[in-house]
Amino acid sequence: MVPESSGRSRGGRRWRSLRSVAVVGALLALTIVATLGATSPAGAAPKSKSAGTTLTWALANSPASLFNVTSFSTDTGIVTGNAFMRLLEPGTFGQPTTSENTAVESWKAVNDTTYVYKIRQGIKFADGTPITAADVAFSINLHLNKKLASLMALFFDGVKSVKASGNSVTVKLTKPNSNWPYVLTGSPGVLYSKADYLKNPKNYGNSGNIPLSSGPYMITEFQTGDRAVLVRNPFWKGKKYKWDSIRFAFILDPQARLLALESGQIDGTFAVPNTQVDLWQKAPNVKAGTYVSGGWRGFTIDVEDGPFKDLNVRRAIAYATDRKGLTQAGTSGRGAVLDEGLPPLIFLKGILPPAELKAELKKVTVYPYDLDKARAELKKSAYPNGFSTTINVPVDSAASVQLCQGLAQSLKQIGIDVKLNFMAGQPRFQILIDHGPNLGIQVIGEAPDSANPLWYMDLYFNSIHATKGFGNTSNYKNAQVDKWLAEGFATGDLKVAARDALKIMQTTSQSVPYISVFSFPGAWATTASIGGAKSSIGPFYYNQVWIKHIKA
Amino acid sequence: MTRAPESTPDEGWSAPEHLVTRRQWLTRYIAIRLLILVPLAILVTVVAFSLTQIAPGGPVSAILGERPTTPQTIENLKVKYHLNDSIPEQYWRWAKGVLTGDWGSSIVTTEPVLGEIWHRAQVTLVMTSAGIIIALVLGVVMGVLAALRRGRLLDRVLSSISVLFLSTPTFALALGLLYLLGFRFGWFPIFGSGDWLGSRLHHLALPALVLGLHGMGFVMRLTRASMLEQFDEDYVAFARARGLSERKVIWGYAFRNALIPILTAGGLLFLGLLTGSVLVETVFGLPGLGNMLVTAVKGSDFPVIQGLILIIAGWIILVNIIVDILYAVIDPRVGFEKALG
Repeated sequence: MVPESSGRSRGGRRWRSLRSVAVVGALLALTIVATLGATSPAGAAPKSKSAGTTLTWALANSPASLFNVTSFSTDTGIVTGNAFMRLLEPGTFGQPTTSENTAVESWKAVNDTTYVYKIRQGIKFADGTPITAADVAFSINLHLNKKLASLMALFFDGVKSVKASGNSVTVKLTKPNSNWPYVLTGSPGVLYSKADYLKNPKNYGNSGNIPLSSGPYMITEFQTGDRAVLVRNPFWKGKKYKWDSIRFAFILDPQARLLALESGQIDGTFAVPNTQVDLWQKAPNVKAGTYVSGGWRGFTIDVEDGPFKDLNVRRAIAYATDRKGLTQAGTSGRGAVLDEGLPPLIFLKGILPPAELKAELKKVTVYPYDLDKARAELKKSAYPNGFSTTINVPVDSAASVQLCQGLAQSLKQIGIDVKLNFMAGQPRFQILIDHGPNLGIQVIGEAPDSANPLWYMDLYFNSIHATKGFGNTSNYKNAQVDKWLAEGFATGDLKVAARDALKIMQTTSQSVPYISVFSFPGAWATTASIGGAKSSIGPFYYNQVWIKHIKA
Repeated sequence: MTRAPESTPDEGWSAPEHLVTRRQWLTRYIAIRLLILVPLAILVTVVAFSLTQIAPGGPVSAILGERPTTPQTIENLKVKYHLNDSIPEQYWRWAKGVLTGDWGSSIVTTEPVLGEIWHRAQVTLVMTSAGIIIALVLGVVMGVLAALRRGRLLDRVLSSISVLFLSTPTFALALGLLYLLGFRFGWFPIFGSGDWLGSRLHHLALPALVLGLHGMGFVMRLTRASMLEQFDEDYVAFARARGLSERKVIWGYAFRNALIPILTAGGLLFLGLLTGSVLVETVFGLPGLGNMLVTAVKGSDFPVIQGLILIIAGWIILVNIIVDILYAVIDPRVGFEKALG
């Protein structure tokens, strides 16, 4: 239909006006939004490659917040690692040590339940206020505050009191705990300013309430999901590192991360997928490598659930687990096969003489991959013709998916039909927390939070932890194991704890509540010009000033 | 709505009675649509809230992140975030806050929801709007050209291009362009949203291009079909017979009438690109709304999910209202009387 001529004229003018207004309006709106959205705080200047003083580091995920008490993650640790003093620092084997990066100068156990920490003198927060014993005591007490709901409260179970006096802090425990010396070397040992926290405790650690730093760098900007910026702390008296500032970028996609590294838009990352280390190493302008992470993967078997009550069934599963193949698939051959049971052995190595450790490990029952032996064990069980079961597979973890698929394939060959129930990681974890009945086989993986050799054995094998909210998903209960755990925690002598750990490994290996598969390394990558990470980097790098491990 | 002729009395023209009535109808129409938003928003948030509560998992396991814990820690978290309250109580606490301007804080990050949405919306809005402009400009121009050269080489080439972009998944297109334009040629940054205006526009250009190219195929095919349909109409033949220039016939008559389905497509595209932005934001490491929604859903972070649902529902209704108004502006035959009953 052709409009009337007069209408066309009015309509035409109206149309042209509308068009102009629309175009100008759209451009204006976009500019306003972009301008408002763009920020230019002092610490957020764009990276100047020529200056060479900004280290741009990529993480796969953004920390939820910068307050470790309520944000317990590796990502939070990496961002805060260079900005906050810890009370103690982990040594090569995770043992508690002191250095210029720790607020504690020295410490001693007065008796099995009393520890005294002497605070370093002359150290300051990033605003110039002195760090005192009161700040140290306050930082520990944060975890005991129920209203705060510290995610690390688990580590503080049995802490009776924390008191500051002069330049010392005294921690009293309700009972001896051999894990206590390790606690303050990790995320629970981050130092906060009491005055800064009390000024505005609400939402402490989020983008509008950044905690006062105390390390070589101070955090000047943080926006969840976007960026974090650190600049030199003017009051830092320790070693000064090469870079004036550190800028964190959060890049979820590994391919985008690799391209950003290859192009030099980032300088490095610890977020290198285990299965892609080879690919990253071959990339131009990239130097990638691995370090001992202390992390491992395996399966728990619910010893109270249907066919899994039968020891022969559990042994059959253990024999049918192709650890070598699963290690190859899950870690691209970079992991180490774990035959001995619940790791991490690395922490035993730091305590016991090698000969003793070797001799004791020989007493651990191992189940080398052998389908004939697996079939024979199953024949001896109440289920000689096999059975069907389901494994919940967290799809967020590629390694867990591979592990479950590999196990299902092997078990099929001996007559056990495994259905894989793929689900998101979080609801799957909820099943573990809820500790529902019939937990069957569960795939698990851990990165160590404590270097105490008994720590994970306590979580996985202690009878009192076979309940809702705890991690004994095998429902394993053994009075003797509980006794060794109690003895190991009650002693101040770590050698006793390590020997108890070995006895538990030997005992549990016979009843197979748990099948370890492999330990996996962590990986790093930097641009070739940075040159990579030093060999000093270890499993707890994110709980310390990690920039010291970067070459340059 | 702009009514230029009414504001130019020097031309001796005054608003006819039917146009004034039309304006009143339009005002009523917008008011009613906005009023409908209120019960709709309540309904949507109630449904979303219930789904969040029914879904397996929960905020506690999201906060713990698969770390070892104790029942005491779990209980402390539940008390802190009022998770022991009944579902209606939790909903009412949230709704009361919204009515007083407090949208609550994220359970996972503790960031205020409204502030966080505002921060992230800037990225998504700029990127999506620029993507729409790219999609519409390229799509319409290519669609018209293809229609004009129907069945010829140019038509085939343009149609093939549109199919290519339409059928390529957004994340694949994003990675491809990231590699080519970001890495190989180094024209665009590979990640992030930029610090200052120029930098922000530079950072968002490539993600916007990805969204724009993906949407362009859809707009191009629609424009082509719509233009071809108009070319077959009698009024086009009549206009040509009257000796009007081809330019006038194409752009003045055929194109204007072809615009109505394109406008509908524009509205749909805007909402579609909002969904597509989830993957693009992931690839480019952009802190946008899509990214925020995924994180919130994964973490059962219901204050954030609720806030986003409210914003998105409002957004959808707003876009529909704008499209309806533009219909009326472009085509005087379209009235609101029917819509209002």
